[in-house]
Amino acid sequence: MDNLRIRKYMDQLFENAPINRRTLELKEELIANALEKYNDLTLRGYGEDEAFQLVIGSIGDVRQLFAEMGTDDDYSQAYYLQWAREAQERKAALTAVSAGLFLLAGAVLVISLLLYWYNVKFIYIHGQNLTLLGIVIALLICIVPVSLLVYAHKIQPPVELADYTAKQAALNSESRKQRRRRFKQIKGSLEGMMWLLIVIFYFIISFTTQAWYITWIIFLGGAAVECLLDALTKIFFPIDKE
Amino acid sequence: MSITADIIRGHTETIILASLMEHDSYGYQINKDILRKTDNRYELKEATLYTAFRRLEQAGYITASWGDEKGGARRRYYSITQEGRKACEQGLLEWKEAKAVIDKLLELDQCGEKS
Repeated sequence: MDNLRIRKYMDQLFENAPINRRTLELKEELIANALEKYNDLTLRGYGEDEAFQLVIGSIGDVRQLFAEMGTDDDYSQAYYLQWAREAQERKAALTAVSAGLFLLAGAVLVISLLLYWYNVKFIYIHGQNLTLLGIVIALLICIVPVSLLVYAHKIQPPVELADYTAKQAALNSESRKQRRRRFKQIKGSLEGMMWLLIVIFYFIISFTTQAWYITWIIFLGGAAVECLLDALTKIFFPIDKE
Repeated sequence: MSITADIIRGHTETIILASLMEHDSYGYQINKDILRKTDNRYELKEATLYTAFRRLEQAGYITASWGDEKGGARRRYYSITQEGRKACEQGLLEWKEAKAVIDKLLELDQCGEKS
């Protein structure tokens, strides 16, 4: 089969085409028809080269098609709107996650204060240190939702359609899948580092406070952060439906 | 020969609509139909065909949908809309009128056989 040759030719033909869904669809349509024509010709007894030349010859001037697709924005408009909607949803998801984290931080704070009160009132077991630890952890947790909110605030649909088209072109240069894979790699190494730090942190805190009975809670915090990273992966890199 | 090709090209959109009146179709099949109906003498260039598809789609005369061919590229099928049927009839009327006018003009110009 000479399929590759036709596909390669189409790749060359579309090299300078504006990158948008219309041209990608046109390319697929052209390829499907060209392949069928090629198969018909070879079945009728044409040699491979001859059939290839005939197929190529019948395509004509495709640049006139590109020209039209560059200026006609109706179609892009629909995708732009869809994108804007998705951005809105992502923003909402980020805000929800941030709110949840603030609640978590609040809970940690309340628990450590309760612990303090309990210790003062009844038995004194390194209560102050633990309370301090709780406050520090609560503050650390707050860092995440604050940065998420700052990021969410930055998600704004580009005002002009032209901005969107430019952005699309940039996005297309690296496929979604590739970006997802790269993010996963980074996430993996980050998590490895995080767990190492958590173990170190655990021993430091435990030896200084001697509160071994409660410091294991640090690991729960680590698990929470890991879940958060997973949620973020899902928000930013939804699995392609194909 | 080249006059015929010009005229065909000039009526690309109506020809496509007429072809879709018979049944839903895709680019290559429409071209095959044209070849068959003209005894293998004429076919449209791909670029002409697809430019016309886009224009017809935009005008709302045809709608497109993807076939579910496995392995390899999918076909893009087109079907005619109610608007498209009207446009096709209109195109036919215009052609009939043009034909009548040219017939008359050539007769009057006396290059036809004199009786």
